[in-house]
Amino acid sequence: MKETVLSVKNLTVSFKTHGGMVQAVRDVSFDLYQGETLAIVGESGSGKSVTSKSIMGLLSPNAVIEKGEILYNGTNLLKLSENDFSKYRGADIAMVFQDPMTSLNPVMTIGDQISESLINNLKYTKEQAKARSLELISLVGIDSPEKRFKQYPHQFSGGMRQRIVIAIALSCNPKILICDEPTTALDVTTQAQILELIKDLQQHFGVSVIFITHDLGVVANMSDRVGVMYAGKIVEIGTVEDVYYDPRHPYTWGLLASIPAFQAKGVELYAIPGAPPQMINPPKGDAFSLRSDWSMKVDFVHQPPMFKISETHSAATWLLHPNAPKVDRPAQLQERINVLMRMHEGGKNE
Amino acid sequence: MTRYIGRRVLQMLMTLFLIMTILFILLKVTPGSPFTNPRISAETRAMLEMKYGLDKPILVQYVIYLGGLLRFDFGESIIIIKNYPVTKMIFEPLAITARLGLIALLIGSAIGIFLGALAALNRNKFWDHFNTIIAVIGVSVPSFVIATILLLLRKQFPIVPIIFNKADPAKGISLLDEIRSMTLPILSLSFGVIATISRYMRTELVEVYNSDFILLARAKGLNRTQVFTKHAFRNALIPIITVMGPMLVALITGSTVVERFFGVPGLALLTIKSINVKDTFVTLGAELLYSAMFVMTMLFVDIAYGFIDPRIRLVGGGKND
Repeated sequence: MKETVLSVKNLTVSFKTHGGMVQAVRDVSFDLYQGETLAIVGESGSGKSVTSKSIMGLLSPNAVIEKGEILYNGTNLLKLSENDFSKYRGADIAMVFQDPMTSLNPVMTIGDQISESLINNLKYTKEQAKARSLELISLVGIDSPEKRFKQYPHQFSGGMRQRIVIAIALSCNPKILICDEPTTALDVTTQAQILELIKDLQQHFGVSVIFITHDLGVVANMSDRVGVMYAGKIVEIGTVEDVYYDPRHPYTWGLLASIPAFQAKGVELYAIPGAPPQMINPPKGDAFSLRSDWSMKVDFVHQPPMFKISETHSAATWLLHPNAPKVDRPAQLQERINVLMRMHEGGKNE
Repeated sequence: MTRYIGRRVLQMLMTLFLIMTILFILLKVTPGSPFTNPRISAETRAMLEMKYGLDKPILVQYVIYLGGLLRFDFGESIIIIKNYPVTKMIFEPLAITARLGLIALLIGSAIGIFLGALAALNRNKFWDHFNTIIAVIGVSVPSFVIATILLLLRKQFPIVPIIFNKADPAKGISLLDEIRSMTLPILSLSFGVIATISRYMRTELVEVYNSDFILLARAKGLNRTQVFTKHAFRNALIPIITVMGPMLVALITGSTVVERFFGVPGLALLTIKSINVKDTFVTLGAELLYSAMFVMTMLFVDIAYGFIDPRIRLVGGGKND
């Protein structure tokens, strides 16, 4: 059994708005193991970013944590005061944000922004911090660190800034690195480089990564395990092989079927019908039931529990109930999965 | 950077030249002369006008004045102090007005920045509402009303003098007396500054706190105080610096009411006096000085801005990439 570094249990977060309480995260539980990459995928508004911000303690003031706990080293982070929480940030849990263009302070040199973290968390002296910062700048693949150290963010491109943000995040050897869509704001070539960098650095630092994204292609490349979120819940979680080759939740089917990459010419690309539900008044039963072709009566009344499929794989759909009729995945999707598996095999033999 | 400043100085001189020309023409075409006075006979008037060259065509007068300007000669006063050079005449009142304005700006900005920050950090709570009330009063109540209120308060608590005392050891007025007598004018001047600056500060801070780099600063493990001092404050100050320059000029050029109220022998009083008696060169000199201060402040602000915000600093110099 792998060592668990972080454990999220029954996390439920809502936001106070004029329209009422928006239930952004509903009863989310998962474990993060030492050294692994756990990807959390889902569309906008599915609650993946809110989950990651809860772990960082960076939720906006109108957020209410209704229940649940986030256990790190036996401490429930959710019970900490702002000042106590700040001791964990950067030092134990670090984060890389979505938009590198705005996530660096425009009036502070790059060097100061990296050093700051070291001085604050590891009590380095200014000289020590500078030496380490220069190392980190080279480590994230930026040339002439001495010169770069003194420069300001506007002298860096988007990809370089994201490298700097990664350097800041990893500066204090955190146990956990949360990447919140770190490549969404970058162009495709830069995306690939940044992903490669994160992968390399994960090896180098032995850090556990939570990788938030809506790009399933990125997930397959990066992660060991995948959690699929829909309407504030994790609907399916398992290893990459579990979720990609043996998906069980109709929502996961829809997601996999709508990746344009393997689309045969002339065949219409699948799109999940409808739109995600309003989270002020979420549906009573399975939130996906309204958009699913496989909904049963029970889906509209009761929320499905997590059904365990294997040691590593579970999904929340009534289709997995012993009494449910046996349903096969759509044939077109199965074809895609077969293609995927063949590609994967091919990749292994290279 | 040097080239940039050089170009800006050149533009400044052009602006001042234009202002001077327009002012000169306006002052000359307004009816009346310094010697329009029932006690002065037409003959004497004609003689006096000839003496001061006022009988010449406007264009000739203009060229003479311009020639003087190039030698840094701003002409002489005709009425207020006969034959006294304008440069000397303006110097002392300007020093008084500028000192008042500068102190009012510094005190007002310090209080304004403090109140604005307090409001931004306690949004929708007591200090925020307090700040809004102060700002609304400060912006909407004219300075003579505030001066009157201060006078009434002064009546209840006679701690400081009402009338401005110029420090003069010969008359037994010490520097401390002068400073004490500056209290009321400075208070009435700084009220508007507090109002404007605190609003700017609040808005800017709220905006800065919503930006991603504050989130990153928090994610680094900085506590609230560190996030404020190291990241939020400086970024919020950038726009404040830009309003401070023009504000100082506005304080100096707009202190007329306050100067009259508290008997401050400043530049505004001199200007008004010179307009009333048509002492043209004094008016011109004072107005030119006001304009020069304005354009110079704008330049200083732009340079100061560059020191705070590196993105601007580097545009004039070579790019590093």
